Amino acid sequence: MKIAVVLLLPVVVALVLAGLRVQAALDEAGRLSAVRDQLPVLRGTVELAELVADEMVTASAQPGSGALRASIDEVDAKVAEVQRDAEFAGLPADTGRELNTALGGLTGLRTADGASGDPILLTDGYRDLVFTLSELVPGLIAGAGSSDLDATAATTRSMMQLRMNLAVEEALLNSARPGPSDRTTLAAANRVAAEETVLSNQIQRGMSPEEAERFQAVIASAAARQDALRNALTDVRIADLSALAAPLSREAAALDDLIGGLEDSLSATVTERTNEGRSEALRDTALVFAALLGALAIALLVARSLVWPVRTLHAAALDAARRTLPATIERVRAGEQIDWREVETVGVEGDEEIGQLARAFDDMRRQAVLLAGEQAELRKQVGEMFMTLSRRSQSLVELQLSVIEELESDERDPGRLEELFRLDHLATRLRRNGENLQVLAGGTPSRRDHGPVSAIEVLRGATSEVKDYRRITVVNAPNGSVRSHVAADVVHILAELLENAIRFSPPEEKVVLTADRGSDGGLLVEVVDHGLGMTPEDLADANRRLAAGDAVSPETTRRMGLFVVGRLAAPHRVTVRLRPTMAKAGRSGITASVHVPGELVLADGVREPALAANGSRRGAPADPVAEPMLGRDRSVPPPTRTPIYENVVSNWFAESPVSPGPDRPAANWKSPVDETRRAAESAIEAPVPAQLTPAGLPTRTPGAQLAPGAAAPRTRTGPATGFRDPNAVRNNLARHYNGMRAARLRADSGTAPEGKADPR
Amino acid sequence: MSEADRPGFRREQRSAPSLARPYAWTEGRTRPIIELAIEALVQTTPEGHAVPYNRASPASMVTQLCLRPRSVAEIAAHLSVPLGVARVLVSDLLGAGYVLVRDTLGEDASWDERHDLLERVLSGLRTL
Repeated sequence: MKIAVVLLLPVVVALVLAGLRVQAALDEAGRLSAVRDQLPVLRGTVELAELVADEMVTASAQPGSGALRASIDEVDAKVAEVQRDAEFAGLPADTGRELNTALGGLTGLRTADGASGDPILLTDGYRDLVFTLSELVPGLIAGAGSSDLDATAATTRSMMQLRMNLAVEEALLNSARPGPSDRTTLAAANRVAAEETVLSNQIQRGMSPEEAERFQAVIASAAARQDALRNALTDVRIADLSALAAPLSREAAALDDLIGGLEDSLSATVTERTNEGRSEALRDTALVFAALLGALAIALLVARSLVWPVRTLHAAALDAARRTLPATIERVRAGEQIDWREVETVGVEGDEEIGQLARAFDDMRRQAVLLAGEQAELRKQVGEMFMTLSRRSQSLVELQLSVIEELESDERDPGRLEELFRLDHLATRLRRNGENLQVLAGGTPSRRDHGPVSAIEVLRGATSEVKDYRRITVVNAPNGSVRSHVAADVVHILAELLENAIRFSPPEEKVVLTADRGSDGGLLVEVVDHGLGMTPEDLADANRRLAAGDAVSPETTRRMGLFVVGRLAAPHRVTVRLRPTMAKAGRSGITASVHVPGELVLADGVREPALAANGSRRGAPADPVAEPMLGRDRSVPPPTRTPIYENVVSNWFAESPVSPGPDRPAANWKSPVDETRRAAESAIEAPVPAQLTPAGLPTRTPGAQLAPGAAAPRTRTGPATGFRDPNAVRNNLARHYNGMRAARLRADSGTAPEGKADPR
Repeated sequence: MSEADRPGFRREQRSAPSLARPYAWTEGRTRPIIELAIEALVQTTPEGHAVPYNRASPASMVTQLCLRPRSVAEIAAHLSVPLGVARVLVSDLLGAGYVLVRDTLGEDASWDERHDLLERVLSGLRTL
């Protein structure tokens, strides 16, 4: 907008100035053109002056003759013509009036001529008329406003007056009669001749040298004639005077030619100037308009070159502010490494102001990305610090819980046990709080390996993490276990939902926790409360947050529970949904349902595949045949994997750490013990047939787990059986084992010194 | 990713604390309504046997467990709850008439009973 004003202002000024210039040129052209239109009047006037002079001469020479009548007719025709021309030409008002007055005086002269017959008065009248006509010439030409034209017009006027004077002189001479009365006539002629001298000088001053020369030639006889007139006045010799008429009329004719020439040159000059002026005006106009158009075009080009980068910059700035920059920062926050040097530029080049602005803007954007990166880095560092600290405190809390657990298991005093329970409860809540902290810091809570956790233990674990755990009723628990790595998270999710349900339901209301197996084999847990409930919008919003797992925001602190639930559920594809309970009419409440997918739930009796190989795990719970309905299982060891057995396996039959070289050939050294061992291994791996008593307890077949042939079926031998000293048996076995090892080593290398293989 | 690779996972000498805390079994109660000796033998009565089994109820677990006579200490070990909790659970059941508590060995105990007791002690020791 401002650019438009800046551009328009000089254009307008230029337009005004150019308009003035063109106006002036047009004005001059118009003036010249008006003068040119008046040229016929000029010509007519000049001719009329001549005709009038002729009429006067004729009237003086042959009054009342036919020639005079013809001359008068001629003059009248000319007068009519001049008047018509004047009407067409549109003369200036005063000029036209003068012309009319002069022409109107003509009839008066003619009648006066007839009445008085005084030649002096008559010629004076004619002279006045012609002089008036001659004054019209410079008056008309003055309209052109040109000094040289004015000079020529003045010369023409003077010449016309001179010519008239000559005519007057001739007329006076013609009418001169011998006698005293003629003395006055002669005196008048003499006076006129004197005037001629003045006029001639005047004319010569206004002429160029060559024109002056021609004029001199024309009036060469004037001096002699004037002398003759002066002499005639003193000598009174009339005869001489008549001889003067002939040169006079010659001179008058020559002057007529000169006047005609002058008048032609005037016409030509005026016409030429008019044409010139007009073409000049047109040229000026064309030039001005061309210049204007050029200036406009340049202005538009400049404006375009200014406006385009500004527009581009504007668009780029808006785009960056509304789309690119937030998206980039989002990406940076999501952990993507973005080099600030790779931020795309606006695309406006150049060294001028706009280009500099564009570069400044690019710099700013890069700085923003750089800052966002640094901020993300800082956030990550703070988060890591957070995580480290809270991991430490988590492990301390876990340790504390272990200690409390130990104390509890031995405590027999109910009062102290109750206090321990309170301590336990606080520590458990502390553990949950620490996990929340870790989730908020953007990490995953540190977990211990619990092994698969049965559904009831998951429910009970969730219950025990809640502040008002007494208000929770566990209604149902299905069989099946949740995989180890998910169990703690599911417990935490349920605890958060329970905490919410308890907080938003009246104190006398119980919160119901129930679980069942879903159709896909997964676990479906529901937390049912009869509390305040939520508006449908809040509910939809909460569900959306749970499903999307929103980012950390100021909202998060208000709804930390939901946030943590969403964050914990998402990686395991555990889904959490809230819906109104609708248990009884007029009562609200929310039911939160948690679905743990089938692949995360193990049916009872299935060993967790990822952990089955880990033979040294304490209290493997996944042998439910031995104890199908116990929540915890470390009390009864599985029959094939007693700690003693494992110890024996690892120490006796595992490959010794010193013996196996990588390039050692397969042992071809065999002993009957190997067969036994292999048989024992196959016996271990053989599936245990699950035969249950009517009460659900397993029946065991004695000796089924033993290696075939390793032991005879136990028979009651009675107390008479001989006593065996365990020390003796152990020494025996140790010696046997040492011997075996030594033999193996020797068979292997042949050089191994005896007794060095095993420190035992 | 195996369990051992997970961040924060650490195997320690001390056993990891269980997820479910013992106070959740009894809603925090620690005082049995009837005092019980830890070696007292508990057996489910037919009434207790008749109650439908509910996996979610600790009482059900005890009645299931005590189809065969077990001591209170044994019950605590099986359920891996503190002794105090087992006592509360058993005393609750005793109050409801779902279990019988037999006396511990008296002077007139037979050899089998003594042998049985010793065997149970041994198995209890092994589980520790």
